Amino acid sequence: MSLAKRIIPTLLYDGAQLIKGRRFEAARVVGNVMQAARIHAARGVDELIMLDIKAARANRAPNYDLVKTITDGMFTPVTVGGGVMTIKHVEELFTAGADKISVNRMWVQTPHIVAALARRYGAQAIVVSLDYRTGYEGIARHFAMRAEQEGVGEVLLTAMDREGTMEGYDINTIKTIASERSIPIIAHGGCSGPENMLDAIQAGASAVAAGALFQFTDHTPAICAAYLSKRGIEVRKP
Amino acid sequence: MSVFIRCTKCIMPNTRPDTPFINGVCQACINHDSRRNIDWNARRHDLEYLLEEHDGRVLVASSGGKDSHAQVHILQAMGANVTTITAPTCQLTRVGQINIANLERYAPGRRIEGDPIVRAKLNRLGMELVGDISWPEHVGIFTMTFNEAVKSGRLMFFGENPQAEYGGPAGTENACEMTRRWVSEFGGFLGLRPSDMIGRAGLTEADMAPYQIDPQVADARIEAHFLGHYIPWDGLRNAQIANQMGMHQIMVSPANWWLSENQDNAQTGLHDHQMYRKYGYGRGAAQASIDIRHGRTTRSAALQWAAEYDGLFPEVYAETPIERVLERLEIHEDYLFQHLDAFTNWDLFQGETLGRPRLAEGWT
Repeated sequence: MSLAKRIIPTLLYDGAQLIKGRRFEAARVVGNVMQAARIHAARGVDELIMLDIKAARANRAPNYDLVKTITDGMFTPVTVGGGVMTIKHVEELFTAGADKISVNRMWVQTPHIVAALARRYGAQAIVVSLDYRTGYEGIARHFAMRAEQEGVGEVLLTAMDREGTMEGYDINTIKTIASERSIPIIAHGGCSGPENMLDAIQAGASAVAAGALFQFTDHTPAICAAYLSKRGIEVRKP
Repeated sequence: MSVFIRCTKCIMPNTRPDTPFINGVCQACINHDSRRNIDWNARRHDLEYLLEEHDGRVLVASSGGKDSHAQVHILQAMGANVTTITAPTCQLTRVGQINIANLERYAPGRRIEGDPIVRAKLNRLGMELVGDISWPEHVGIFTMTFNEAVKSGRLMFFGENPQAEYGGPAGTENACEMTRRWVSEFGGFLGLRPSDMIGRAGLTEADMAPYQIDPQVADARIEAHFLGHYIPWDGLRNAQIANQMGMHQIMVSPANWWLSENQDNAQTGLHDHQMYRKYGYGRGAAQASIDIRHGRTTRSAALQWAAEYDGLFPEVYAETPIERVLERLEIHEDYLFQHLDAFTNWDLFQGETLGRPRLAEGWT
């Protein structure tokens, strides 16, 4: 029996502010991150991905207090990323309530440490976040290969030029990497609606992530799940 | 860690959602300055054309407040045959009732009757899920009025374009028409959709139908325009027009800079306080900023006022003690503060005075 496909809202934040980006450039404050976290928790979504988008650039540690406040009493599994550079960061985030940790720069700079973390906490607890621009799909393929070799749990594959646009996932790259690798792929960047989620899943994605779609349109994870289910995709009913 | 920076021209902070800053100046001030480059005669001509297209029959989405009075006045002066559509507020005040009736002396009105039990449940859920007691009111303004419009006409007006008046992503200040896409993104949903409420607190699909745009609306081709796109918008001028028309005004709260605004809903004070806790500014700061842009006050006077009054907890709002609001929602004060605290951006505050968190040193 195949595993159910997951629909995962992504929340970008800076401090307590909920941010929406567009192509990784214009960062727009759209509200309060607690609002969005509570909505998705109440919806009973499969998982939630929370990314602190300014931590790495500001060279600061993740905001453990905020993660603790948000995950307190929440049953939804939460992946936390942004500014994760050291083993201590990972440990503190797990203590604060994160279920999985997403690593990006840390993976590029110290892949052996990330591999060790995957062995210690279990592959499912470590997500490698691969952000790539159009024209650099080859680099994403290379790092996906490395992630698989090092025993990491899954790859959050983000098409930077599509992020926040709602113009559709980069289906070709999802298809290429999914056909080459057995590591689960979370499609991310540009989701335009449930039809587009279906395309990504048919291209080989194990999960589909979306931010702007759930913030700015009437589509909810439940509506998307119902659409996919009707088309024969196994999903968990929220 | 949030950083709190006020606009160098007005007192709005960068923490306000959808308010980009350029060289220290907020988008609302930039929009205001660019008003002088707008050809208002051409826009007025567009409005005349629009009215002609619809045989002068127009609907005004109304609360009975100052902007509704002014819209009726402006459109009637242009020869339009105006009908108002009033969506229910969460907890209608005495003065709100008087003003709705006052406006109906000038234009026939259709009042939408909401279910108060459903509304109270939505107020509570709004507080729990998004830290906004007024979630149903904000959503209802855009959905209930559209649904009602199907029965009465095709051309409807709302007041200002909020992105032009208060700031928004670049380019959105030029929107003249309120589309379904606009409503989804800017209509006060905060990411929470009416369909999410079905099944919670016993709410049914039928209970939530008024809060969702009826599929008939798309077929009926209702056109909803911002009057503020065609006529330069000024809340204070609108208040003066409304007062001349007999609108009543009271001092709703010391946390308001203006007299004549948001007098119709006893819960608005709590909404404004929630906003202050999330973003470090209250309704008074937004009103004072408009007056700064119009040259009616100075930035330093507004800052001094904000330090003392902005975001104060509404012990009494529009003659209604907070206890009456809590009774209506069937909640206790402990419950209220638990949810107020959960949505407070503690990065912004340091200690507490007069029932409100105090902005941290250097961020005042």
